[in-house]
Amino acid sequence: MKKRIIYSLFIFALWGCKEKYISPVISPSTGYLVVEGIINSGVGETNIILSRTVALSSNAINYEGGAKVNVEGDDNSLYPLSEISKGHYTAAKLNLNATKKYRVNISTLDGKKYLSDFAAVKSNPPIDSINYKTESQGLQFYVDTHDPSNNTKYYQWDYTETWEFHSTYQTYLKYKIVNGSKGQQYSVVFSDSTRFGWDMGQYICWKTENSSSILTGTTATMSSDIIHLPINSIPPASWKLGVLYSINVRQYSLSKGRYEFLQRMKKNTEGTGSIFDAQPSELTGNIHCTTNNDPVIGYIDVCPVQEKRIFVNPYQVPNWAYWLYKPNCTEIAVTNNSDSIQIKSLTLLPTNYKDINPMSGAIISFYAAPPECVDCRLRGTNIKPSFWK
Amino acid sequence: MALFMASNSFAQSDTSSKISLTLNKVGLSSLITNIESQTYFHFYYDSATLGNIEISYTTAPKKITTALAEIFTPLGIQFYFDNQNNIFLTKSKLLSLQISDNFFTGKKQTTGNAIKDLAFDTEEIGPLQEALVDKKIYEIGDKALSGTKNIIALAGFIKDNKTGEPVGGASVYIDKPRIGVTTDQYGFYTISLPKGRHILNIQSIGMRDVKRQVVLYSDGNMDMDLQGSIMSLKRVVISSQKMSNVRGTQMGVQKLDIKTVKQVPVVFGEADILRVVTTLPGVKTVGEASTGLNVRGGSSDQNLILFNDATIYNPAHFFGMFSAFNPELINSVELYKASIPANYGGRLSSVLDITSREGNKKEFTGSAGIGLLTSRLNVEGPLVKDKSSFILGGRTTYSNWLFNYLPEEYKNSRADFYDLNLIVNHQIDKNNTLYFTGYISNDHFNLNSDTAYGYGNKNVSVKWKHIYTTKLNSLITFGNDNYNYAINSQKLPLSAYQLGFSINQSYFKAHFNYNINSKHSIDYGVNSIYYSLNPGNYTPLGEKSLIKPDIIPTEQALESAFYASEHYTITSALKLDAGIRFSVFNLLGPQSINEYPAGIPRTEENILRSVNYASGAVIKTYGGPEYRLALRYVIDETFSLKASYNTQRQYIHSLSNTTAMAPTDVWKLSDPNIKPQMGDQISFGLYKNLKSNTIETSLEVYYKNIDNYLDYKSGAKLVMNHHIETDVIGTKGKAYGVELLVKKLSGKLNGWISYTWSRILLRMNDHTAGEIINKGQFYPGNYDKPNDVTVIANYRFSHRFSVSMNGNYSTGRPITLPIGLFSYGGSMRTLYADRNAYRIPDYFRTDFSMNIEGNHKVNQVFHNSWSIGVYNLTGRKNPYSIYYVSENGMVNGYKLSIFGNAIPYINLNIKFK
Repeated sequence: MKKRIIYSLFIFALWGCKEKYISPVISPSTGYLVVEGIINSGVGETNIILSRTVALSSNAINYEGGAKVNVEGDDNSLYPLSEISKGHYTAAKLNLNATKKYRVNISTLDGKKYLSDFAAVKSNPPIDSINYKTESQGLQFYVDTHDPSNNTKYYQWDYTETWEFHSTYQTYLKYKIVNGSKGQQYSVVFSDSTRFGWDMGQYICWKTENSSSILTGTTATMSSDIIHLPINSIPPASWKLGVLYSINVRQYSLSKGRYEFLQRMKKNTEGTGSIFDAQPSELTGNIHCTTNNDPVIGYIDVCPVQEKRIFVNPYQVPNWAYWLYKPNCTEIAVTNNSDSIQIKSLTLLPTNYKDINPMSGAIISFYAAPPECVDCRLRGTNIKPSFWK
Repeated sequence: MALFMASNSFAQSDTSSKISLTLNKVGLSSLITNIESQTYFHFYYDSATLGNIEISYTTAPKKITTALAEIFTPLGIQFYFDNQNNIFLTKSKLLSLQISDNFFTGKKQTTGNAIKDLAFDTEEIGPLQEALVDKKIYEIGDKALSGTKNIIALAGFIKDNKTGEPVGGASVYIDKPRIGVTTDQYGFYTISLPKGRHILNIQSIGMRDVKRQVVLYSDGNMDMDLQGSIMSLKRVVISSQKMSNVRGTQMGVQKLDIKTVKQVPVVFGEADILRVVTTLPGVKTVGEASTGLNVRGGSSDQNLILFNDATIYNPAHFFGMFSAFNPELINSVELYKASIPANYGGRLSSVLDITSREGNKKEFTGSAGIGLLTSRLNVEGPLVKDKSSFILGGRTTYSNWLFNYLPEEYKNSRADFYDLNLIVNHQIDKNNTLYFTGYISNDHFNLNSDTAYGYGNKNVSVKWKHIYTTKLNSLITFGNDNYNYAINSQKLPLSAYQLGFSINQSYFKAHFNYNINSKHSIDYGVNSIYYSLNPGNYTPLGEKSLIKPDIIPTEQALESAFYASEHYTITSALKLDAGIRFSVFNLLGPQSINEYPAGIPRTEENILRSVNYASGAVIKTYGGPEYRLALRYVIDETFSLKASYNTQRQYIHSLSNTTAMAPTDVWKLSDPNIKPQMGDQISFGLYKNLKSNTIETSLEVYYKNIDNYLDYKSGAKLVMNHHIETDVIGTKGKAYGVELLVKKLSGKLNGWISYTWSRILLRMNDHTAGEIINKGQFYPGNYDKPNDVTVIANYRFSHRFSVSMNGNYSTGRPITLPIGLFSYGGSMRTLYADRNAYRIPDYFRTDFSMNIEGNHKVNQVFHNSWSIGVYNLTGRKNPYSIYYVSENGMVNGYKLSIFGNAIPYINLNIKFK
């Protein structure tokens, strides 16, 4: 008891309490242009995403569609980007001349023009490896890179995680609804009457997520350009590493200016909450509105983008504790008649039969479970990614 | 000198008590022990003059008066009784002591036999004004010299009769004409008075008021011992300022003694000087986890924090939760925020002068304290009885085990600290005293990250006080101050590093006080500080580390100042303090200095060239006069008006872009690119005492200008920056405010109420300096909290039980809130614009504490006391900060409270001897 008192006292004391805060301040409408992306001088795609700043109360992205986006060289070369979805502009394989400088030229629908500063093509060494290690917070992934010429110095990474997962229960049953005189009549039937097999389309799925924090690294303070930095971790028992997990890391080399821009953005938006917080500061990048002096957020650099993908399955990780299936899933038995179904299982999905009439093959009773335990499409997609093993 | 307490009434003491004695060649102390064990009497005497006598005496039960007469008369020792069971022993000497009871009361002496007739006649002495005055007359000087001078200088030490410690800050004054001085921290005073008869008043915090009748013939000394009033119900704390706030010329000065500090409830029950200082008008902090003080709009680096003359660069422990001063060793704290005396300089806003106690010169004693998070132990005692003493005190925390009970995410956190003090003083002879102070504090912590922080102060000083004549004395101080911090991280072997920073300063101070006459006294002196800064040392840690060692070259400079100030009593109502301080700052080589073209922003790309200076070369000199003026006009006994004007220069700056004072803030010396900060302040005040000086009220207004106040550019890098001038900007600041204080420091109910309305506004509109903040408009500083009310109340039910309560309300501090959101890097993120455009919610907190003392038996070896209390009684979740963070792609706003609940605490203090 005594321990408990001191314990709680101390938590309250030092870590006080953190409560959600909703600002009473009505933020002004800003609508500044946000330019995200990098010019890929290599063989991969160049992707530029345009959006507008929104009010503090809104958490939705306001993409900027209908703009004209070009990459321009200081040799007057011109590479137009095309809009593939609202706000998303892309060009394939620019293969730029590494001795020239390039910039982005944007004309938005409201008639304003934006230009980034010309930036030189920075070399970018290939990623040596993506490796992992079990640590207290789970499975920690590291990126290893080195530049023998000691020139790169400033790095940025982002990544895409994809993992395969399975539903807790397999199913070969489905509901059948008939509109009759007494209203809708429910029954459970086999999903595919021609072939009595599991419906794999609801059982095996994939989930993809992009990194959401800014990852940078520098060797400017080190004697040689060697990087070994943590980039992502999977907490113990996570569903990410239940069947097979893959991470694809993209590496960018940065100018000092873009590195500092990203560091500042990171400090403002990710590094807050301690007692000794640095105060938030304004962000200025290398993109300017040439029509008027509207603020613009963004910093454009040019480099070949390097990528590396690895796959991990749970058996490769020693002592890995994991859940193959979604926890807290249970089945109940339901009699196969419309009333029972309507009372007991309309919010559930049927999985397997319990009793079957051996003569007619009609289902007398069946098992049902919550949908997220049965249909994996509720948590991902059942379309197998092209790179999947 | 011994105690000179006497009384007109012997009748109330039980002088008919009988004693029996058998003594054979023993010292006086054996005699006294023997008598004290048989009666309720206590003896007071000067061991220096009476310590060596030898007594042989045997008697059957006999009246004490008869016995004492038989013992002492042959030895030429006089003895007196008072009405509080005290017996005083003395030999006539330098001061001729003559008791005049029968003279004034008109009665013939009937008891005792040590009383001689007076040598004066009535006319010469004049009528007695107050019946309370001790009816004993002290003759000062040589009667034969009388007539040669009309103004007589009187000097001496005032000490606590029980421990022999000096009583600093005591007022020594006469009423007609009004002449008064205050003792310095060594208990020394010097006063010039007209020849003749006076009633000398002595008042000090926590001591009984004393009045002495003196007759001055020529210059002389008079030492006095005061009796503590701790046991007194009526006067728990008596401010030495109780009249001096009206009478003194200084304004914007607040003095706290340690007893007051200890009554104020604080978090975890650790009596904390800096926390209590923040309850004074005009003093603010950014929040609960910061002991950085913001005085009248100044930043926390603009305070000169002195501990026995040593500069303490980081006065905080435990992430800023506690101050680094051991309350058991502190005597008093004085905060100067307007009229800063000319002997202080080098900081713009304030001087916080913390003085330690001196050790007990009579016996070995000690104290121990046990709290929830810390413990402390202090021992003190004489080295040579009545001549030298020491105090050794230490505190440490054992909070680490608590972390083991925290959730997993905090389990790897650690926090340790300790501080150690050693204070020694030695009185060589009557005119020479040496003082030694040593101080070490150390902190280590990591907040569940792989980065460990450590910082510490190390200070040592030696002081020599020399009295040339009763009119002239000097104080010479040598010392060295060191502050350093280190950060290391070794989780990733390739990039494991250690970052170190340190400031080292050696100083010399010579201060002279010359008391010319009753109208003029002057202080003058010279200060010199040699700085050596190690601005950053970034080195690899471990064999695998690829970190390239990066060392920013050390900076060194010499800051010197000459000053003189005159205290001029123009008329008894009008008094002027006029001081000038001429400070000179020399930045010294070796150093390389970047040069930038004029008129365009300083950036790394704009560096014209870098100039190397040789070792010892003077790179840049700044300097100029600083004026310190204060004027006081007394309207009547209890009401006065004051005005002051002050200018200050500051050559060392702390660079920080955190709101709170962080342990990783770096300090930087002025150089050709970073100009000294300059400030001037004008203030006016009204002072009125009510109810026979038991209630003090004051109203002060001020206006302050600050130049070259350092603010940082957006995204500034302040650590390991080889060209820090590119990341900071000089701003102009203005601060103004009104401070009201009502203070009652005596009576069962005591405490104070302060209210401050103040602003601090900054402006950066120099287009050539690069980034313009908030479009060149004035913006509020981080600690701009316009309204601030503090109530501190203590109610003493009995000797042994008192309760304290305090309350604090203030406007929320300004913060920079996001004005919008955008998507970048796979997450929504916040958009910031103007600095400090919004405020966090208002702050309100009340605390409560009970102080329970054990019994007060004087001869008990251990005395216990408990303090039990609740911090943040209402459990209000006062926001420390509001922040927005991107988490898993979404932006969430949070309100962070340091103390999110009521925090109970208990502390046990043990005193032993």
